[in-house]
Amino acid sequence: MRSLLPMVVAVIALTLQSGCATAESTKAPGAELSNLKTFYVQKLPADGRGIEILISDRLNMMGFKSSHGESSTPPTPVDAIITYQDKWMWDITMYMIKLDVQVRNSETRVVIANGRSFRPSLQRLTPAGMVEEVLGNIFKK
Amino acid sequence: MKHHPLLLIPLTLTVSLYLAGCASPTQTPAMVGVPQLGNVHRSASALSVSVVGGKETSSVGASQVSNGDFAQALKDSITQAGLFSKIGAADDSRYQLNAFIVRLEQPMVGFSMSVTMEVSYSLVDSQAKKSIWEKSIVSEHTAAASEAFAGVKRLRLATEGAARQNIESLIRELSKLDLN
Repeated sequence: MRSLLPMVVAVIALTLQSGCATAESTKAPGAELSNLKTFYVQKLPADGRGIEILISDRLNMMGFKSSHGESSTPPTPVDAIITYQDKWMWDITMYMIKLDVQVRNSETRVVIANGRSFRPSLQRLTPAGMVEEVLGNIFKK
Repeated sequence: MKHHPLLLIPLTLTVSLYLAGCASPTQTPAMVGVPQLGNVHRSASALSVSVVGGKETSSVGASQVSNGDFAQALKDSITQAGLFSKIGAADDSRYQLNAFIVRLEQPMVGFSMSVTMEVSYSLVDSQAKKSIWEKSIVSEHTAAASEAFAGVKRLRLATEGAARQNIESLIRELSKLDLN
């Protein structure tokens, strides 16, 4: 029976991790993103990998003005607050399998746009690549 | 007892397929949520409902919430709660409820499965042509291992529960509004 267990585990893991990479974004009805120039990226409390810094840096590279921090309230007024959720898996090494990003109204925190990237092991990207893909989709002209 | 390695492959595939199963979409009746409301103000106007951000379920993926199914669950819940005179089309309704399904966080595996759902809502007054209420509602529901043997079914139950609780929270919020 010893030979059976690793094979069962391997096939179950492959089944669960199979699938195709997807990247998508949605805007709330009537939402206008072209007016947004300044952002605050709110760190996810459970994130120990500094994804909020990657998102903020990418926004700055895209020509916006972005800051980041742990507080739910930005230190200075901004046009929108960015929140995110990252999910990681292990396959030889740890990799980010999914990244969700939300653009929120800075006053009501209602979501005006969101984006998601899902990349299984064989189609994995670096965290910075996932961030670039998601933000690129949300703010595409 | 020795096994020939080739004999183990069909067994392994069978076990993994059995565990994985086929996902089924969430069911509208299971997402209908009507909380107990006391004496609340009820609008004499009609309401239209619009949903974006939902996804169709693929048989090889996890149960998802589609725009159409969530819209129907919202309509049924609001009708049962009696907060508006009727649910109508956008053209002949004073109010429009926009729901944006922002995220559905689902586990990949697990015995007890917890699903978190966030929906951003806005209520637009068509006469005044402005949004009169906005809120993002986060809900969570856990389906225990005892509720269903198959993981795909537990995930569907947890997803439906999260959607139902989200709608119940929305109706509580809407019942606080003083609408014409």
